[in-house]
Amino acid sequence: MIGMRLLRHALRTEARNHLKVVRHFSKDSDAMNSGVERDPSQTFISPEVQSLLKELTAVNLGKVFEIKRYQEKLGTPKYKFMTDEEVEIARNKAVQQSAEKLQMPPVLLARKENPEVLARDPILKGYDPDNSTYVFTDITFGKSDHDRLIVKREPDGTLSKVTWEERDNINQVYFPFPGRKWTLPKMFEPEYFDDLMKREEYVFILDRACVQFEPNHPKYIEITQKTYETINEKKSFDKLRSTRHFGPLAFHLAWNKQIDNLVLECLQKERIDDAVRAIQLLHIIHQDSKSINVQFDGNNHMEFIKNYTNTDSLKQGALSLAIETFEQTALQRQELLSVHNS
Amino acid sequence: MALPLLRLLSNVPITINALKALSPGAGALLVKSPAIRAALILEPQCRHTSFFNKLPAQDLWKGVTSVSNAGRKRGRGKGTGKKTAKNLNRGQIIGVGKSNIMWPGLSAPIMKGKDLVKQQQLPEDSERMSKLIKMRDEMSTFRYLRLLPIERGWSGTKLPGRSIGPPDPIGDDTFEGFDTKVLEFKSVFHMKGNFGRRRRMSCLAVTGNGKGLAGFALAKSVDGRSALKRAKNRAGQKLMYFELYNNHTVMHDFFAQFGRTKIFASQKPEGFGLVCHRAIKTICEVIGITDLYAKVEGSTNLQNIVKAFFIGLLKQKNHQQMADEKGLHLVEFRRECGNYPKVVASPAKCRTKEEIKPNEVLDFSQYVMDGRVVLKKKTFPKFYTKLPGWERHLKKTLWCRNHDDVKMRMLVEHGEIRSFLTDKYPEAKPKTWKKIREEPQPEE
Repeated sequence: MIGMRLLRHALRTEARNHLKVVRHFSKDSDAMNSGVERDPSQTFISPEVQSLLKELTAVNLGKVFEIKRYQEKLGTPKYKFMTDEEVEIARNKAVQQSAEKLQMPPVLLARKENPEVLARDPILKGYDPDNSTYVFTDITFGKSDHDRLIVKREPDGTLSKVTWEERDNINQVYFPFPGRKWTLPKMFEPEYFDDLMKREEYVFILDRACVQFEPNHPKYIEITQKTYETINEKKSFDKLRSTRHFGPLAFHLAWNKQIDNLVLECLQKERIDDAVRAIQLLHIIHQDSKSINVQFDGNNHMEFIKNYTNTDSLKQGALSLAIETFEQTALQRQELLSVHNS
Repeated sequence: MALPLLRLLSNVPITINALKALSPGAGALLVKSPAIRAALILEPQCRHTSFFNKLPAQDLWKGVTSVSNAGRKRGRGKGTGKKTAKNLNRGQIIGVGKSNIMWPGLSAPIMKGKDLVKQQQLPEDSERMSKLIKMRDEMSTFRYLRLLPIERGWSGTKLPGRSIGPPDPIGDDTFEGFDTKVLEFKSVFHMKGNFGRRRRMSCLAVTGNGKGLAGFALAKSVDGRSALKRAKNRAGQKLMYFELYNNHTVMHDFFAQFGRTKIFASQKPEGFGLVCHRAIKTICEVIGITDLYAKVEGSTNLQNIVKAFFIGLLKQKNHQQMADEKGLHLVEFRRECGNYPKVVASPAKCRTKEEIKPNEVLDFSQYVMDGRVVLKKKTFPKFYTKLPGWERHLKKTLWCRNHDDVKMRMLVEHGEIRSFLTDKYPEAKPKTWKKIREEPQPEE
């Protein structure tokens, strides 16, 4: 979709600069040292991170395809008698369909308004008595909204490319995005946004943000980050599991070194694998973290988590308590099973 | 001496003067006698005493209101035409009468302060008689039953469709959450050898707790109230349990028949409502079904409709039963869920493709309707679409086809309906067309 095109564009520029994707770690550390904001897009798109995020989402097909409350008209269900094989085939088809529903909106830096000036013709000043700006759009079929040539001639004679804001508006005129509104929906205003956060309607606002804004729109980044912070505070990660927003949420938390609540929640729900994955994600993003000394080899779940708890985590007490509780319950369960079996 | 004269005079009308001329002495006597005066058409016959003030009130009323045995058989003296005995003493107090006299000790106190109260006549109350008459007129008339809309039945103040409360408790069993509704309430007659034509009230009632339990019963009795009670309690004895899909509709579409009455019922989604015959609607209300479409075909005999519907509900199969019968998984597909295959019921052992016979009915709708296919009538375009003016109308209304949406959007975003000129000229606001528009008064 549009966001993916953006990423491909970003990657193409990188390739032009003869830098491989693998080397982005060193490049980012240089960027950090120089004070420039670190670009999350390439880390986000890397295969290791993507696979970790997908697994963290813990897809439950039933929840992916559940009825959304804001449906207009309900229909009667249709029934079919199926054999085992037919059910399997139908399920696989549903998994393929779910891939589209679970496409993660990309994490990008906020776009900067710096339109390129193509020509300056002060001789054209005053050609229009109303002093209006003229916008010329290339509406050729097949061009993307991002790359399309849109230029404007201002009353003082300057011919320049349009700003990102103007680009969004012009694209909406000629190629309207279904569901996108011209003016900022009231939902994103602080008063209503806070109310939605209070009501824990995270998926609702995130879906609306995806429809209304491009992933590199500053407002989109602001809204999503605020939502992720609220979820982190309230620890209601389960609301986003099996949706396409869990990946960006986990990435945001790891990017800002705030995975403690997530790890804690995973331990409390006995999702050790997810806890391990969250820490692994942190290691990939922040190569300079202290707990990177112990690697996960497939079996040392508790050791890996304990190492993180003792070194990098800010909630050492709560996490160690959770680990203890988990180990005790696991032990008790083993004892009960052995008693039952004997 | 007057007697033979009476006999003569009874037949012949003669004037007084003529009589006086006959015999001057007898003239005065003659005039005084009421009978003769009546005969002379001077005064109509007036008796100051008769059965009217000799008999007690009860007997008098009995004479007016009683109905003969033959009449009672024909149903006379019951219902709207019935004459009721009125207690004429109502509205009257001993001591208060036509001539308004104050009787101390009876209608007034004896002492007023320190003075004795005297018997005195007060001015007459002219309205007293008219008030009494008005009260007596209203006594026997049927008081129009005031029903709230929620209490109303199918029509007016009639009983069918109305609720008559839960069945009476039996020992410790109270029918908590149950409500009974009347489906039919009519008078039926039958002939007996000795009595002849006999009338009874028949009541068909259905009771249910809104959660799947329901029962219906028919009861007859001489008077309506006991028929209602009997039917209600009998229905409470004959309860059946029906499984509902998501507590709002039937498990699947079905066909049911009783006699010449056929019902095609189909499962509908939430919010659809009960689109069916009023009797079926009432039954669904007591069972707890909120969304259903049912088409009644053939005879519309109410008792048969009720029976057919209950038969259809009883013959329903729930998901697990169907899966077990077929030996295949029952999978639900919903458009709102992206047609995700949700397995609602699985058999103990699922059959393979080879085990299924080639001519076996696997189609769910066929299986559920027992091979029947509901006729879908062709919907023809409306007659006016063929007329010449229709194309003109479409062309005329094309320019404003999205105006409703635009209006809504404007009200949301701006709070008012505006045009492109409203920015520059705030008074240029589009208004709906009105033939006569009240001009706002200019402020002075």
